Amino acid sequence: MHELSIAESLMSLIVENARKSGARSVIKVSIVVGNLSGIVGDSLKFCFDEAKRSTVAKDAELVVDEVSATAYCVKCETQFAVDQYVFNCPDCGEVVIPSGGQELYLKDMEVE
Amino acid sequence: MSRTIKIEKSILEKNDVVAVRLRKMFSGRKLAVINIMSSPGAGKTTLLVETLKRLAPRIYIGVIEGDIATDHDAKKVEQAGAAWVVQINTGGRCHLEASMVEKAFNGAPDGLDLLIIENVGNLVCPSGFDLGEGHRVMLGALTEGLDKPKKYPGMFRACGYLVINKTDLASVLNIDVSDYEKEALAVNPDLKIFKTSATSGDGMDEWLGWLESLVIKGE
Ligand SMILES: Nc1nc2c(ncn2[C@@H]2O[C@H](COP(=O)(O)OP(=O)(O)OP(=O)(O)O)[C@@H](O)[C@H]2O)c(=O)[nH]1
Ligand SMILES: [Mg+2]
Ligand SMILES: [Zn+2]
Repeated sequence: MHELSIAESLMSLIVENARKSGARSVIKVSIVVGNLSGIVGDSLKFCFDEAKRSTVAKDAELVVDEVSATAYCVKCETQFAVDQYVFNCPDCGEVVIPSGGQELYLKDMEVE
Repeated sequence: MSRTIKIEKSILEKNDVVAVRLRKMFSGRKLAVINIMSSPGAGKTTLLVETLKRLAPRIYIGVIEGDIATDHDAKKVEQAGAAWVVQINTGGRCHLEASMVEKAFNGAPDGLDLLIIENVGNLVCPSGFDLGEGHRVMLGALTEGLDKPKKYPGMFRACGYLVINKTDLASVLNIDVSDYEKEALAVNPDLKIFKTSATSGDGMDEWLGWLESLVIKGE
């Protein structure tokens, strides 16, 4: 359900930018989705395919770049990719608060 | 020939633009606005009704009720003394969006002191949609168990305030309210926490005191 709203928001951003750049059609759309954003790439793709019908992006492919939140342990001086907000360092158990992971943006699109 | 155009814009930009406009309008009117979010049935409407019973005689409170369908909650809130109530049926959508609030608020009377938005019961989607509110409040019910903060961190982190409701059931559930508090603070250490039983009235005073302080500040 949520992905449908996101797909619609994405669609209006695409249409607006396609118009601004005078594009006849959109071929590819690249977005960045954080692994803590609550958005599931596959269901977003599914909803995108619904939302794109009879728009300038009707033939567009959606490329989802999933990025991870990271955490840094000060004790071990190492950086980890994580999929949780609260996280224990796998080496020493220290509790760390990750950063990033909430990305949700339209990176670029290929048009003609 | 195809070409690539760089965009680098938030997908929720459109909502954010409307939210910024709303926030400006609310602050121009010195109107305190809170957005209450929770899972279905955590007690938003009950807390709202009890709040209205106590504050409505002194404070001019408007309510926006977000619901997937039905106007049951809006009716209860109206009876409890809200100065103005508008129901937004989201038609299946799992959250309110800024544009819905903007449209609904068009019909609001002048002179409201406080606007309370009851979002659609859902712990995931509403957190991503800024409604132009001054404060986001998440309501967690003890009956939902202690794992909610870690399961729905997005919501707990999007909010500045947490109301732990249904505290009257702590002994039945064998859950310590302070354990819920700890779990929530682990996910968001900046949360300010209220503990209430909307049905018994326990803990309501701190909550009401906070709302009144918002009205005095007008934000
Ligand atoms: N024991 C107890 N029950 C409560 C409390 N607060 C609410 N309830 C009950 O919980 C049920 C759901 O309450 P509502 O206020 O309708 O919950 P809601 O969050 O508005 O629900 P939706 O709008 O459907 O998402 C009702 O039966 C309430 O009586 C409380 O503090 N203690
Ligand atoms: Mg309700
Ligand atoms: Zn470590």
